[in-house]
Amino acid sequence: MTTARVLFVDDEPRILDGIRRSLRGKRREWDMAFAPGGEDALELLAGSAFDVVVSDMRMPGIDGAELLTRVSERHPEVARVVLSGHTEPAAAIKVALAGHRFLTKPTETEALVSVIEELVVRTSRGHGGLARRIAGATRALPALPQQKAKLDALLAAPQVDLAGLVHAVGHDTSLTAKLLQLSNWGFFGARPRNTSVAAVVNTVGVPTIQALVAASEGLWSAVTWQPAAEESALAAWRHAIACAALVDDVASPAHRPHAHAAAVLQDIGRLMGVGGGPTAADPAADAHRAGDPGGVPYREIGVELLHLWGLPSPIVAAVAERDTAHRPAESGLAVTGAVRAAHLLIQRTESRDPADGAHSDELRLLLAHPQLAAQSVDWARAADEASAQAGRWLGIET
Amino acid sequence: MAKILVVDDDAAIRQLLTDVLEMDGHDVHVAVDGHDGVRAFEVIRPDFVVLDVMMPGLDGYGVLRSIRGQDCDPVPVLMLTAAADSGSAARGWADGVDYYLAKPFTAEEVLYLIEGVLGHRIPVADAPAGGDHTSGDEPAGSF
Repeated sequence: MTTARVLFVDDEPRILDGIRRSLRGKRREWDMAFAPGGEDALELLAGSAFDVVVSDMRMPGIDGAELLTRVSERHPEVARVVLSGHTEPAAAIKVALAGHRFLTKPTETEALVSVIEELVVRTSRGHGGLARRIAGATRALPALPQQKAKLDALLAAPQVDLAGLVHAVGHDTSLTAKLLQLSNWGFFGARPRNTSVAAVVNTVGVPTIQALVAASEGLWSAVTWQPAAEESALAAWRHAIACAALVDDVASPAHRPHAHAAAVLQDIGRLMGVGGGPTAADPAADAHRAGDPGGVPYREIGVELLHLWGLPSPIVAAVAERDTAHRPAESGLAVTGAVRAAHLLIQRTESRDPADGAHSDELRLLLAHPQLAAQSVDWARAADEASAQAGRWLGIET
Repeated sequence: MAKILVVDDDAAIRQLLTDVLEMDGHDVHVAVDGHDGVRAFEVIRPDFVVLDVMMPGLDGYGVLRSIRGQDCDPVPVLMLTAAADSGSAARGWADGVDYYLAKPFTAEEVLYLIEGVLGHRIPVADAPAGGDHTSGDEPAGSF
Protein backbone atom coordinates (compact mmCIF):
# COMPACT_ATOMS: atom_id res chain seq x y z
CA MET A 1 0.00 0.00 0.00
CA THR A 2 1.38 3.35 -1.02
CA THR A 3 0.70 6.57 0.84
CA ALA A 4 0.55 9.29 -1.77
CA ARG A 5 -0.28 12.97 -1.53
CA VAL A 6 -1.73 13.83 -4.91
CA LEU A 7 -3.04 17.08 -6.36
CA PHE A 8 -5.38 17.00 -9.36
CA VAL A 9 -5.79 20.15 -11.46
CA ASP A 10 -8.49 20.70 -14.08
CA ASP A 11 -10.71 23.65 -14.95
CA GLU A 12 -13.63 21.37 -15.79
CA PRO A 13 -15.51 20.43 -12.58
CA ARG A 14 -16.98 17.43 -14.42
CA ILE A 15 -13.50 15.96 -14.97
CA LEU A 16 -12.38 16.58 -11.39
CA ASP A 17 -15.57 14.92 -10.13
CA GLY A 18 -14.93 11.98 -12.43
CA ILE A 19 -11.41 11.54 -11.06
CA ARG A 20 -12.66 11.89 -7.48
CA ARG A 21 -15.31 9.23 -8.06
CA SER A 22 -13.05 6.80 -9.85
CA LEU A 23 -10.42 7.06 -7.10
CA ARG A 24 -12.86 6.63 -4.19
CA GLY A 25 -11.25 3.29 -3.43
CA LYS A 26 -7.95 5.07 -2.81
CA ARG A 27 -9.16 7.69 -0.37
CA ARG A 28 -8.00 5.81 2.72
CA GLU A 29 -4.52 5.39 1.24
CA TRP A 30 -3.99 8.69 -0.52
CA ASP A 31 -4.41 12.30 0.50
CA MET A 32 -6.08 13.82 -2.52
CA ALA A 33 -6.64 17.48 -3.27
CA PHE A 34 -8.44 19.03 -6.23
CA ALA A 35 -7.78 22.45 -7.75
CA PRO A 36 -9.92 24.10 -10.46
CA GLY A 37 -6.98 25.98 -12.00
CA GLY A 38 -3.27 26.76 -12.02
CA GLU A 39 -3.47 29.62 -9.50
CA ASP A 40 -5.33 27.50 -6.92
CA ALA A 41 -2.92 24.64 -7.51
CA LEU A 42 0.11 26.82 -6.78
CA GLU A 43 -1.54 28.05 -3.56
CA LEU A 44 -2.20 24.49 -2.40
CA LEU A 45 1.36 23.46 -3.28
CA ALA A 46 2.78 26.39 -1.31
CA GLY A 47 0.70 25.40 1.71
CA SER A 48 1.41 21.69 2.01
CA ALA A 49 3.62 18.92 0.69
CA PHE A 50 2.59 16.77 -2.29
CA ASP A 51 4.21 13.80 -4.02
CA VAL A 52 2.48 14.05 -7.37
CA VAL A 53 0.56 16.69 -9.33
CA VAL A 54 -1.71 15.56 -12.16
CA SER A 55 -2.71 18.45 -14.40
CA ASP A 56 -4.82 19.20 -17.41
CA MET A 57 -3.10 21.31 -20.09
CA ARG A 58 -5.73 23.67 -21.49
CA MET A 59 -6.87 25.97 -18.71
CA PRO A 60 -7.64 29.68 -18.55
CA GLY A 61 -5.09 31.79 -16.68
CA ILE A 62 -2.03 29.73 -15.78
CA ASP A 63 -2.25 26.79 -18.19
CA GLY A 64 -0.90 23.31 -17.55
CA ALA A 65 2.49 23.83 -19.23
CA GLU A 66 3.06 27.01 -17.24
CA LEU A 67 1.85 25.43 -14.00
CA LEU A 68 4.15 22.40 -14.35
CA THR A 69 7.09 24.63 -15.32
CA ARG A 70 6.56 26.65 -12.13
CA VAL A 71 6.20 23.46 -10.09
CA SER A 72 9.54 22.26 -11.49
CA GLU A 73 11.15 25.46 -10.22
CA ARG A 74 9.40 25.87 -6.86
CA HIS A 75 8.64 22.28 -5.90
CA PRO A 76 11.06 20.03 -7.80
CA GLU A 77 10.30 17.09 -5.47
CA VAL A 78 6.72 16.89 -6.80
CA ALA A 79 6.36 14.48 -9.72
CA ARG A 80 4.50 16.04 -12.66
CA VAL A 81 1.88 14.12 -14.65
CA VAL A 82 0.22 15.59 -17.73
CA LEU A 83 -3.39 14.44 -18.18
CA SER A 84 -4.50 15.97 -21.41
CA GLY A 85 -7.22 15.66 -23.99
CA HIS A 86 -5.46 17.65 -26.63
CA THR A 87 -2.29 19.69 -26.61
CA GLU A 88 -1.99 22.71 -28.89
CA PRO A 89 0.98 22.08 -31.20
CA ALA A 90 2.44 25.43 -30.13
CA ALA A 91 2.48 24.33 -26.48
CA ALA A 92 3.61 20.77 -27.17
CA ILE A 93 7.33 21.36 -26.69
CA LYS A 94 6.81 23.30 -23.46
CA VAL A 95 4.61 20.47 -22.19
CA ALA A 96 7.21 17.91 -23.30
CA LEU A 97 9.82 19.61 -21.14
CA ALA A 98 7.58 20.40 -18.18
CA GLY A 99 5.99 16.98 -17.61
CA HIS A 100 7.45 13.75 -16.28
CA ARG A 101 4.71 11.41 -17.46
CA PHE A 102 1.97 11.83 -20.03
CA LEU A 103 -1.52 10.36 -20.03
CA THR A 104 -4.30 11.09 -22.46
CA LYS A 105 -7.98 11.63 -21.68
CA PRO A 106 -9.92 9.54 -21.26
CA THR A 107 -7.54 7.43 -19.22
CA GLU A 108 -8.19 4.16 -17.44
CA THR A 109 -8.27 4.55 -13.66
CA GLU A 110 -5.88 1.61 -13.46
CA ALA A 111 -3.29 3.45 -15.59
CA LEU A 112 -3.59 6.60 -13.50
CA VAL A 113 -3.23 4.65 -10.25
CA SER A 114 -0.19 2.73 -11.44
CA VAL A 115 1.57 5.90 -12.66
CA ILE A 116 0.96 7.60 -9.29
CA GLU A 117 2.10 4.54 -7.34
CA GLU A 118 5.29 4.32 -9.41
CA LEU A 119 6.03 8.00 -8.91
CA VAL A 120 5.75 7.79 -5.13
CA VAL A 121 8.66 5.35 -5.17
CA ARG A 122 12.08 6.96 -4.94
CA THR A 123 14.86 4.85 -6.39
CA SER A 124 17.71 6.18 -4.25
CA ARG A 125 17.82 4.37 -0.92
CA GLY A 126 20.34 6.63 0.72
CA HIS A 127 19.36 10.00 -0.71
CA GLY A 128 15.73 9.62 -1.73
CA GLY A 129 14.68 13.19 -1.08
CA LEU A 130 17.68 15.01 -2.51
CA ALA A 131 17.99 12.77 -5.58
CA ARG A 132 14.27 13.41 -6.24
CA ARG A 133 14.72 17.19 -5.96
CA ILE A 134 17.70 17.30 -8.31
CA ALA A 135 16.11 14.92 -10.83
CA GLY A 136 12.70 16.55 -10.49
CA ALA A 137 14.06 19.99 -11.32
CA THR A 138 15.57 18.69 -14.55
CA ARG A 139 13.32 19.47 -17.53
CA ALA A 140 16.05 18.89 -20.10
CA LEU A 141 19.73 18.12 -19.91
CA PRO A 142 22.64 20.35 -20.85
CA ALA A 143 24.74 19.40 -23.86
CA LEU A 144 28.50 19.26 -23.90
CA PRO A 145 29.97 21.86 -26.30
CA GLN A 146 31.08 19.00 -28.60
CA GLN A 147 27.57 17.51 -28.56
CA LYS A 148 25.99 20.87 -29.30
CA ALA A 149 28.39 21.59 -32.16
CA LYS A 150 27.62 18.26 -33.84
CA LEU A 151 23.86 18.67 -33.63
CA ASP A 152 23.88 22.34 -34.60
CA ALA A 153 25.95 21.59 -37.69
CA LEU A 154 23.57 18.80 -38.73
CA LEU A 155 20.39 20.76 -38.05
CA ALA A 156 21.58 23.99 -39.68
CA ALA A 157 22.21 22.35 -43.06
CA PRO A 158 19.71 23.44 -45.74
CA GLN A 159 19.01 19.77 -46.50
CA VAL A 160 19.25 17.84 -43.23
CA ASP A 161 21.16 14.56 -43.57
CA LEU A 162 18.62 12.27 -41.91
CA ALA A 163 20.96 9.28 -41.56
CA GLY A 164 23.58 11.52 -39.96
CA LEU A 165 20.97 12.98 -37.63
CA VAL A 166 19.70 9.55 -36.61
CA HIS A 167 23.28 8.52 -35.81
CA ALA A 168 24.02 11.70 -33.85
CA VAL A 169 20.79 11.58 -31.84
CA GLY A 170 21.39 7.89 -31.11
CA HIS A 171 24.72 8.93 -29.55
CA ASP A 172 23.32 11.92 -27.66
CA THR A 173 22.53 11.38 -23.99
CA SER A 174 20.09 14.24 -23.57
CA LEU A 175 18.04 13.60 -26.70
CA THR A 176 18.04 9.83 -26.20
CA ALA A 177 16.52 10.31 -22.75
CA LYS A 178 13.95 12.89 -23.85
CA LEU A 179 12.85 11.04 -27.00
CA LEU A 180 12.48 7.71 -25.20
CA GLN A 181 10.53 9.41 -22.40
CA LEU A 182 8.13 11.01 -24.87
CA SER A 183 7.74 7.95 -27.10
CA ASN A 184 7.25 5.58 -24.15
CA TRP A 185 4.35 7.78 -22.98
CA GLY A 186 2.69 7.94 -26.36
CA PHE A 187 3.54 11.59 -26.90
CA PHE A 188 4.16 10.94 -30.59
CA GLY A 189 1.15 8.64 -31.06
CA ALA A 190 1.13 4.88 -30.63
CA ARG A 191 3.18 3.58 -27.74
CA PRO A 192 5.81 1.29 -29.21
CA ARG A 193 7.63 -1.51 -27.41
CA ASN A 194 11.36 -2.18 -27.65
CA THR A 195 11.83 0.77 -29.92
CA SER A 196 15.15 2.35 -30.80
CA VAL A 197 15.95 6.04 -30.75
CA ALA A 198 16.69 5.76 -34.47
CA ALA A 199 13.12 4.57 -35.07
CA VAL A 200 11.75 7.44 -32.98
CA VAL A 201 13.76 10.02 -34.94
CA ASN A 202 12.51 8.56 -38.20
CA THR A 203 8.94 8.71 -36.91
CA VAL A 204 8.91 12.22 -35.47
CA GLY A 205 10.96 13.90 -38.21
CA VAL A 206 13.45 16.73 -38.35
CA PRO A 207 11.26 19.70 -37.26
CA THR A 208 10.38 18.05 -33.94
CA ILE A 209 14.04 17.30 -33.25
CA GLN A 210 14.95 20.89 -34.13
CA ALA A 211 12.29 22.23 -31.77
CA LEU A 212 13.37 19.94 -28.94
CA VAL A 213 17.04 20.85 -29.35
CA ALA A 214 16.22 24.57 -29.43
CA ALA A 215 13.99 24.35 -26.35
CA SER A 216 16.52 22.29 -24.38
CA GLU A 217 19.36 24.62 -25.31
CA GLY A 218 17.19 27.57 -24.28
CA LEU A 219 17.07 26.18 -20.73
CA TRP A 220 20.81 25.80 -20.53
CA SER A 221 22.09 28.73 -22.57
CA ALA A 222 23.72 30.33 -19.52
CA VAL A 223 25.70 27.23 -18.56
CA THR A 224 29.43 27.42 -18.67
CA TRP A 225 31.20 24.16 -18.00
CA GLN A 226 33.92 23.98 -15.40
CA PRO A 227 36.96 22.59 -17.26
CA ALA A 228 37.33 19.61 -14.91
CA ALA A 229 33.62 18.78 -15.09
CA GLU A 230 33.63 19.10 -18.87
CA GLU A 231 36.64 16.82 -19.18
CA SER A 232 35.12 14.10 -17.02
CA ALA A 233 31.73 14.39 -18.76
CA LEU A 234 33.45 14.10 -22.14
CA ALA A 235 35.37 11.01 -21.02
CA ALA A 236 32.11 9.50 -19.73
CA TRP A 237 30.39 10.30 -23.03
CA ARG A 238 33.15 8.67 -25.05
CA HIS A 239 32.90 5.59 -22.84
CA ALA A 240 29.12 5.56 -23.32
CA ILE A 241 29.38 5.79 -27.11
CA ALA A 242 31.98 3.02 -27.27
CA CYS A 243 29.80 0.80 -25.04
CA ALA A 244 26.75 1.53 -27.19
CA ALA A 245 28.58 0.42 -30.36
CA LEU A 246 29.85 -2.74 -28.66
CA VAL A 247 26.57 -3.65 -26.96
CA ASP A 248 24.87 -3.72 -30.38
CA ASP A 249 26.87 -6.95 -30.89
CA VAL A 250 26.62 -8.24 -27.32
CA ALA A 251 22.85 -7.91 -26.82
CA SER A 252 20.32 -10.24 -28.45
CA PRO A 253 18.05 -8.72 -31.14
CA ALA A 254 15.03 -7.77 -29.03
CA HIS A 255 17.21 -6.43 -26.21
CA ARG A 256 19.43 -4.42 -28.56
CA PRO A 257 17.44 -1.15 -28.68
CA HIS A 258 17.17 -0.99 -24.89
CA ALA A 259 20.79 -2.05 -24.37
CA HIS A 260 22.02 0.60 -26.81
CA ALA A 261 19.97 3.29 -25.07
CA ALA A 262 21.10 2.15 -21.60
CA ALA A 263 24.73 2.32 -22.73
CA VAL A 264 24.25 5.88 -24.03
CA LEU A 265 22.42 6.86 -20.82
CA GLN A 266 24.72 5.08 -18.35
CA ASP A 267 26.29 8.30 -17.03
CA ILE A 268 23.36 10.65 -17.53
CA GLY A 269 23.70 11.73 -13.90
CA ARG A 270 26.95 13.49 -14.78
CA LEU A 271 25.06 15.92 -16.98
CA MET A 272 22.64 16.93 -14.25
CA GLY A 273 22.99 19.87 -11.96
CA VAL A 274 26.19 20.89 -13.73
CA GLY A 275 27.29 24.50 -13.73
CA GLY A 276 24.18 26.08 -12.26
CA GLY A 277 20.80 25.39 -13.68
CA PRO A 278 17.17 25.17 -12.73
CA THR A 279 18.04 24.00 -9.20
CA ALA A 280 20.21 27.03 -8.42
CA ALA A 281 17.86 28.06 -5.62
CA ASP A 282 18.42 24.77 -3.81
CA PRO A 283 21.40 24.99 -1.43
CA ALA A 284 21.56 21.23 -1.07
CA ALA A 285 21.80 20.85 -4.83
CA ASP A 286 24.58 23.44 -4.85
CA ALA A 287 26.54 21.27 -2.48
CA HIS A 288 26.15 18.42 -4.96
CA ARG A 289 27.48 20.54 -7.80
CA ALA A 290 30.47 21.56 -5.77
CA GLY A 291 31.36 17.89 -5.51
CA ASP A 292 30.53 17.55 -1.82
CA PRO A 293 31.59 14.00 -0.96
CA GLY A 294 28.46 13.74 1.17
CA GLY A 295 26.37 14.54 -1.89
CA VAL A 296 24.36 12.17 -3.98
CA PRO A 297 26.28 9.86 -6.34
CA TYR A 298 25.77 10.70 -10.00
CA ARG A 299 24.33 7.27 -10.71
CA GLU A 300 21.55 7.66 -8.16
CA ILE A 301 20.52 11.04 -9.58
CA GLY A 302 20.57 9.68 -13.12
CA VAL A 303 18.50 6.61 -12.22
CA GLU A 304 15.98 8.76 -10.37
CA LEU A 305 15.61 10.93 -13.48
CA LEU A 306 15.08 7.94 -15.79
CA HIS A 307 12.55 6.53 -13.31
CA LEU A 308 10.68 9.86 -13.02
CA TRP A 309 10.60 10.18 -16.80
CA GLY A 310 9.26 6.63 -17.05
CA LEU A 311 11.75 5.18 -19.51
CA PRO A 312 11.29 1.45 -20.24
CA SER A 313 12.23 -0.42 -17.07
CA PRO A 314 14.94 -2.65 -18.65
CA ILE A 315 16.85 0.55 -19.52
CA VAL A 316 16.49 2.02 -16.04
CA ALA A 317 17.55 -1.25 -14.41
CA ALA A 318 20.64 -1.58 -16.62
CA VAL A 319 21.78 1.97 -15.77
CA ALA A 320 21.09 1.36 -12.06
CA GLU A 321 23.16 -1.83 -12.09
CA ARG A 322 26.03 -0.78 -14.33
CA ASP A 323 28.47 -0.81 -11.42
CA THR A 324 27.07 -3.93 -9.79
CA ALA A 325 28.84 -7.25 -10.34
CA HIS A 326 26.67 -9.35 -12.67
CA ARG A 327 26.23 -13.09 -12.49
CA PRO A 328 24.71 -14.04 -15.83
CA ALA A 329 21.54 -16.12 -15.70
CA GLU A 330 21.46 -19.28 -17.79
CA SER A 331 18.42 -17.86 -19.54
CA GLY A 332 20.51 -15.06 -21.07
CA LEU A 333 22.26 -11.75 -20.45
CA ALA A 334 19.17 -9.64 -21.23
CA VAL A 335 19.81 -5.87 -21.11
CA THR A 336 21.55 -5.51 -17.76
CA GLY A 337 24.09 -8.28 -18.41
CA ALA A 338 24.84 -7.06 -21.94
CA VAL A 339 25.44 -3.48 -20.78
CA ARG A 340 27.61 -4.65 -17.87
CA ALA A 341 29.69 -6.87 -20.22
CA ALA A 342 30.15 -4.02 -22.73
CA HIS A 343 31.08 -1.63 -19.90
CA LEU A 344 33.74 -3.98 -18.52
CA LEU A 345 35.17 -4.70 -21.99
CA ILE A 346 35.43 -1.00 -22.87
CA GLN A 347 36.84 -0.20 -19.42
CA ARG A 348 39.58 -2.77 -19.99
CA THR A 349 40.34 -1.27 -23.39
CA GLU A 350 40.49 2.24 -21.94
CA SER A 351 42.62 1.26 -18.99
CA ARG A 352 45.99 2.94 -19.07
CA ASP A 353 47.45 0.04 -17.14
CA PRO A 354 47.64 -3.15 -19.22
CA ALA A 355 48.04 -5.18 -16.05
CA ASP A 356 44.77 -3.85 -14.68
CA GLY A 357 42.88 -7.01 -13.90
CA ALA A 358 39.87 -5.43 -12.19
CA HIS A 359 36.72 -7.50 -12.66
CA SER A 360 38.60 -9.96 -14.87
CA ASP A 361 36.94 -12.98 -13.22
CA GLU A 362 33.50 -11.49 -13.71
CA LEU A 363 34.28 -10.62 -17.33
CA ARG A 364 35.58 -14.14 -18.01
CA LEU A 365 32.32 -15.56 -16.68
CA LEU A 366 30.26 -13.19 -18.83
CA LEU A 367 32.23 -13.99 -22.00
CA ALA A 368 31.94 -17.72 -21.33
CA HIS A 369 28.14 -17.49 -21.26
CA PRO A 370 26.69 -19.50 -24.17
CA GLN A 371 25.01 -16.37 -25.54
CA LEU A 372 28.42 -14.77 -26.18
CA ALA A 373 30.46 -17.94 -26.67
CA ALA A 374 28.09 -18.97 -29.49
CA GLN A 375 29.22 -15.98 -31.53
CA SER A 376 32.72 -16.35 -32.89
CA VAL A 377 33.77 -12.84 -31.94
CA ASP A 378 37.09 -11.73 -30.48
CA TRP A 379 35.50 -9.49 -27.84
CA ALA A 380 38.72 -7.76 -26.77
CA ARG A 381 39.34 -6.74 -30.36
CA ALA A 382 35.73 -5.68 -30.86
CA ALA A 383 36.08 -3.48 -27.76
CA ASP A 384 39.28 -1.90 -29.10
CA GLU A 385 37.52 -1.14 -32.37
CA ALA A 386 34.44 0.30 -30.66
CA SER A 387 36.60 2.54 -28.49
CA ALA A 388 38.68 3.79 -31.43
CA GLN A 389 35.51 4.40 -33.43
CA ALA A 390 34.05 6.46 -30.57
CA GLY A 391 37.25 8.52 -30.40
CA ARG A 392 37.17 9.17 -34.16
CA TRP A 393 33.51 10.16 -34.01
CA LEU A 394 34.21 12.66 -31.24
CA GLY A 395 37.32 13.92 -33.01
CA ILE A 396 39.54 13.01 -30.06
CA GLU A 397 41.95 10.45 -31.50
CA THR A 398 44.19 8.85 -28.96
CA MET B 1 -0.98 -6.76 -20.36
CA ALA B 2 0.93 -8.14 -23.30
CA LYS B 3 0.05 -10.30 -26.29
CA ILE B 4 1.96 -13.55 -25.94
CA LEU B 5 2.26 -16.29 -28.54
CA VAL B 6 3.10 -19.82 -27.34
CA VAL B 7 4.33 -22.15 -30.09
CA ASP B 8 4.65 -25.74 -28.91
CA ASP B 9 3.42 -29.10 -30.20
CA ASP B 10 3.04 -30.33 -26.61
CA ALA B 11 -0.54 -29.66 -25.49
CA ALA B 12 0.36 -29.95 -21.81
CA ILE B 13 2.94 -27.17 -22.06
CA ARG B 14 0.57 -24.96 -24.06
CA GLN B 15 -2.07 -25.43 -21.38
CA LEU B 16 0.29 -24.80 -18.48
CA LEU B 17 1.63 -21.57 -20.00
CA THR B 18 -1.81 -20.37 -21.04
CA ASP B 19 -3.17 -20.84 -17.51
CA VAL B 20 -0.32 -19.08 -15.77
CA LEU B 21 0.07 -16.21 -18.25
CA GLU B 22 -3.67 -15.54 -18.40
CA MET B 23 -3.81 -15.50 -14.62
CA ASP B 24 -1.21 -12.74 -14.79
CA GLY B 25 -3.46 -10.74 -17.11
CA HIS B 26 -1.79 -11.49 -20.44
CA ASP B 27 -3.55 -12.12 -23.73
CA VAL B 28 -2.32 -15.60 -24.70
CA HIS B 29 -2.46 -17.16 -28.18
CA VAL B 30 -1.24 -20.64 -29.01
CA ALA B 31 0.10 -22.36 -32.12
CA VAL B 32 0.41 -26.14 -32.38
CA ASP B 33 3.44 -26.41 -34.67
CA GLY B 34 6.02 -24.37 -36.57
CA HIS B 35 3.98 -23.47 -39.65
CA ASP B 36 1.01 -22.60 -37.43
CA GLY B 37 3.41 -20.46 -35.36
CA VAL B 38 4.61 -18.43 -38.35
CA ARG B 39 1.02 -17.83 -39.49
CA ALA B 40 -0.08 -16.85 -35.98
CA PHE B 41 2.86 -14.47 -35.60
CA GLU B 42 1.88 -12.58 -38.73
CA VAL B 43 -1.76 -12.28 -37.71
CA ILE B 44 -1.35 -11.63 -33.99
CA ARG B 45 1.80 -9.46 -33.95
CA PRO B 46 2.62 -10.58 -30.41
CA ASP B 47 4.77 -8.71 -27.87
CA PHE B 48 6.53 -11.88 -26.76
CA VAL B 49 7.00 -15.37 -28.24
CA VAL B 50 7.57 -18.62 -26.36
CA LEU B 51 8.97 -21.12 -28.87
CA ASP B 52 9.71 -24.82 -28.60
CA VAL B 53 12.71 -26.09 -30.57
CA MET B 54 11.66 -29.64 -31.37
CA MET B 55 8.50 -29.63 -33.46
CA PRO B 56 7.43 -31.75 -36.42
CA GLY B 57 7.57 -29.97 -39.79
CA LEU B 58 9.07 -26.54 -39.29
CA ASP B 59 11.18 -26.57 -36.10
CA GLY B 60 11.82 -23.70 -33.69
CA TYR B 61 14.86 -22.43 -35.59
CA GLY B 62 12.81 -22.18 -38.76
CA VAL B 63 10.13 -20.20 -36.94
CA LEU B 64 12.80 -17.95 -35.44
CA ARG B 65 14.35 -17.27 -38.87
CA SER B 66 10.95 -16.32 -40.22
CA ILE B 67 10.21 -14.04 -37.26
CA ARG B 68 13.59 -12.32 -37.46
CA GLY B 69 13.18 -11.86 -41.21
CA GLN B 70 10.12 -9.65 -40.72
CA ASP B 71 10.27 -5.93 -41.07
CA CYS B 72 9.26 -4.92 -37.55
CA ASP B 73 10.88 -4.03 -34.24
CA PRO B 74 12.40 -7.27 -32.94
CA VAL B 75 10.00 -9.19 -30.71
CA PRO B 76 11.50 -10.96 -27.68
CA VAL B 77 11.71 -14.72 -28.26
CA LEU B 78 12.12 -17.29 -25.48
CA MET B 79 13.23 -20.70 -26.70
CA LEU B 80 12.45 -23.91 -24.84
CA THR B 81 14.96 -26.72 -25.29
CA ALA B 82 15.57 -30.21 -23.95
CA ALA B 83 18.12 -30.03 -21.13
CA ALA B 84 20.53 -32.57 -22.60
CA ASP B 85 20.67 -30.71 -25.89
CA SER B 86 23.40 -28.13 -25.26
CA GLY B 87 24.16 -27.86 -28.99
CA SER B 88 20.69 -26.53 -29.62
CA ALA B 89 21.19 -23.78 -27.04
CA ALA B 90 24.34 -22.62 -28.83
CA ARG B 91 22.49 -22.65 -32.14
CA GLY B 92 19.60 -20.72 -30.65
CA TRP B 93 21.91 -17.98 -29.39
CA ALA B 94 23.68 -17.75 -32.74
CA ASP B 95 20.30 -17.47 -34.49
CA GLY B 96 19.21 -14.57 -32.28
CA VAL B 97 16.98 -15.81 -29.47
CA ASP B 98 16.65 -13.48 -26.49
CA TYR B 99 16.04 -16.04 -23.77
CA TYR B 100 16.64 -19.71 -23.46
CA LEU B 101 15.16 -22.14 -20.95
CA ALA B 102 15.97 -25.82 -20.63
CA LYS B 103 13.15 -28.23 -19.84
CA PRO B 104 11.95 -28.88 -17.25
CA PHE B 105 11.14 -25.27 -16.45
CA THR B 106 8.54 -23.69 -14.23
CA ALA B 107 5.85 -21.31 -15.44
CA GLU B 108 7.13 -18.79 -12.88
CA GLU B 109 10.49 -18.70 -14.68
CA VAL B 110 8.74 -17.83 -17.93
CA LEU B 111 6.65 -15.19 -16.19
CA TYR B 112 9.75 -13.66 -14.63
CA LEU B 113 11.47 -13.29 -18.01
CA ILE B 114 8.39 -11.74 -19.60
CA GLU B 115 8.04 -9.26 -16.75
CA GLY B 116 11.71 -8.40 -17.05
CA VAL B 117 11.38 -7.25 -20.63
CA LEU B 118 7.80 -5.93 -20.74
CA GLY B 119 6.91 -5.12 -17.16
CA HIS B 120 7.55 -2.31 -14.75
CA ARG B 121 10.10 -3.37 -12.19
CA ILE B 122 11.31 -0.29 -10.39
CA PRO B 123 15.01 -0.57 -9.74
CA VAL B 124 16.62 0.64 -6.56
CA ALA B 125 19.71 2.71 -7.23
CA ASP B 126 21.99 1.03 -4.77
CA ALA B 127 25.41 2.42 -4.18
CA PRO B 128 28.02 0.17 -5.79
CA ALA B 129 30.07 -1.77 -3.30
CA GLY B 130 33.22 0.09 -2.34
CA GLY B 131 31.89 3.35 -3.71
CA ASP B 132 33.63 6.55 -2.69
CA HIS B 133 30.61 8.29 -1.24
CA THR B 134 28.94 8.19 2.12
CA SER B 135 25.57 6.58 2.38
CA GLY B 136 23.38 8.08 5.04
CA ASP B 137 20.68 6.40 7.04
CA GLU B 138 18.04 8.66 5.64
CA PRO B 139 15.08 6.46 4.76
CA ALA B 140 13.81 6.68 1.20
CA GLY B 141 11.03 9.17 0.93
CA SER B 142 12.12 11.55 3.65
CA PHE B 143 14.02 14.77 3.18
